[in-house]
Amino acid sequence: MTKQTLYEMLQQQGISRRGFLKYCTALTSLMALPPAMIPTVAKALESAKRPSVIWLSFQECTGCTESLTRSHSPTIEGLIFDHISLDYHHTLQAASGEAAEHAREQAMKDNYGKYLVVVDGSIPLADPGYSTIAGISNLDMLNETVAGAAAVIAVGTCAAYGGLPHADPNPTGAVSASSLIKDKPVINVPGCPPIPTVISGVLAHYLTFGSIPELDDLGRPKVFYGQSIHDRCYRRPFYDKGLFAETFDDEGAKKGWCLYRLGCKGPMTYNACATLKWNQQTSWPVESGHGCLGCSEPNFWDAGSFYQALSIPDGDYAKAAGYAVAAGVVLGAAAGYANQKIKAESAAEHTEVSVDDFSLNKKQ
Amino acid sequence: MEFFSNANDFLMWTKGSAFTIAVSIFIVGVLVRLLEILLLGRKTDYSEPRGTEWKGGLKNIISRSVVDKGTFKRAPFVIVVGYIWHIAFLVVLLFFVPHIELIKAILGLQWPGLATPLVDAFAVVAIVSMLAMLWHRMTHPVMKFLTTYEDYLVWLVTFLPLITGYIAFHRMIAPYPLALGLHILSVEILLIVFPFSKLMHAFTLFIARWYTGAMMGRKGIES
Amino acid sequence: MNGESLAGIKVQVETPEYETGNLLSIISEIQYALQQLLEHKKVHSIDLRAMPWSSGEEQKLASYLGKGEVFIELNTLGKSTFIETQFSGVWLVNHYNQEDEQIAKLIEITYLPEIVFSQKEDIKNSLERLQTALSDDKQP
Repeated sequence: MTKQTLYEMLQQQGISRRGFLKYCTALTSLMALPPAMIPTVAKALESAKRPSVIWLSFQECTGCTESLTRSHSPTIEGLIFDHISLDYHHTLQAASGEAAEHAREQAMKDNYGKYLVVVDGSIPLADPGYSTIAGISNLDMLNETVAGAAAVIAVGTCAAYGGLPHADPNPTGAVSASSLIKDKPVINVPGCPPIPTVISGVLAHYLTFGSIPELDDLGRPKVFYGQSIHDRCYRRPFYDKGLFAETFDDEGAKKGWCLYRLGCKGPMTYNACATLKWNQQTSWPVESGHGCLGCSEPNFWDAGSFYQALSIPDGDYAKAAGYAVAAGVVLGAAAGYANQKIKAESAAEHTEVSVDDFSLNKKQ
Repeated sequence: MEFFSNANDFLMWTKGSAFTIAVSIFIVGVLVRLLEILLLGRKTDYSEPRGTEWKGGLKNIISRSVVDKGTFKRAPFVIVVGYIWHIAFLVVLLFFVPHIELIKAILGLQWPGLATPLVDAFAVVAIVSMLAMLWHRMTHPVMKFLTTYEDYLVWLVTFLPLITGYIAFHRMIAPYPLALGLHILSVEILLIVFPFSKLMHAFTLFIARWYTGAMMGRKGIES
Repeated sequence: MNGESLAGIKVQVETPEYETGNLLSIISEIQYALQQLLEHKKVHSIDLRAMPWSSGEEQKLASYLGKGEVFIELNTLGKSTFIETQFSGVWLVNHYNQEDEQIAKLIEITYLPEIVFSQKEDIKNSLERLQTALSDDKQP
């Protein structure tokens, strides 16, 4: 572990002050901070040290790592990866087996209390055998590694909320990292996968300021997850005007109208896709004509069909309604019968009364 | 939130089992209440019919919607605001696109929706007219005398879906799943209370008008 | 696909009808910032990546701002371009990385973007290099 600051490292690489300022500009934009913060970022980076990062991959598909590494080096994200010390990532590292595990242990020992842990994937609790690394269960590795961490970043919806493995009926008993880690700060960076610049933006924030960013109720950094897709969607004016695509190839779809009726989960999904976009700012799901799936939200696999409008309930209401009709008819008929019985009874009890009955002279 | 680990869980519950339960209670309740009335039947009328029942019944269902001059003079506020409220409410219920999607999914029926700002304006009208009616109910001496706790309850369960819907649409509560969940939950409360309260008038109104009209039709009364 | 070349496929580019409305708000932000620059020498920048755009809308902004008298290109950690727009004091700034991918896009309202100036640290470094060179045997 080098004790150099990031600025010193850049200088050693022959990068000018101008280059450093450019780096800070891009980094500020990456962290979704206003440009007025550039001098602050520059100042913070002048004394920032390279943090050691341990990346734990549990029940995951490597999509999150793919997402991150697809941002080609040397992008600004790449630069960040040069400037953190990624000491353990069993998919990316060259070492394997005992050597790999040794690297993790060494990093923990050298930076105890100061390193960052990135958790990728959910943790199975039903049977540890569902997912092990070097014979160590995910739960044990998590507990052991997090014990000396400064903070934990849960990358991807699986690590943040359980994700796909957690979907009903959840055979592995998968749970999120934050449900197991109680004594360390956990930053959730959900998404399936998360936007690469968001992953690196969160790392950059830690690298720059040495602190964790402001989080929302679901543990997500507000700078990236503070606004819903719907609020930032360029198709929002169509929602407001009541212009909706009704199939994927009708006139409305071709004109780029709102995708609400096609099942877009944008109104309930908090993520930065609408502004940061994907694939080097080329496009994003809604721009390419498909509704948002809500991948950065808890339970997104179980929250109804991707192609059903948000207002449509799911569950067995149709079947229940059938039973309810049958029950209603039976109970209604019973009530009707009871009423008729009461009517008949009162009719039977009815006695004819004549004027004479009211005669005052009548003897008691 | 004790029972839900987050707002999304809450929303899923309202859209899932809570909705199923509410709809079931609503259907059972409405059927029982209706059959209870219909199966009671009416006394056989042995007199010679001077007209047809169905003609009078249908006519009455429609003609009674026209405001009676005398009643209007006595209670103009109730009639005007009552009409405004019902129209505004029905527009919001039936022409807001997310509602149309819901109806389409459940009943398979579909019709065009209105532009969202227009629906929003109707929602405001509905909310304001409800507040006005509450104010009228609480200040008018006769109304106040006639009002029972049930009336306030009915007012509340009708008002809640409107106000929560307005809040959800304008995203005034964050996160949105909480706002939408509260709106759906309020509708479910309305569905459950509906069959067992004065809200049943939405159905019984037509039965009552039919019976009266049919009786008059049979007697050959032209009104 | 019977060996048809890509060029043979006709591509129809449609201009989208929709707009986010951000164009207008950005232009009024620029107008306000220009006033601030003149009156209080306050510089201002707008991160164009921090807001949603519909396709084509950013180009519309660029063509509205147009090209003025100055074009500067920097070469550090990849290319950077600075275009003074037809509105003097309004600069369109694009930063690219070594692979020519855009890493930042800003509008700066200033006399000259800060990063264009020679930086004190770099000047110091140059001075040291020159001093070393002159004291060396290997003078030019």
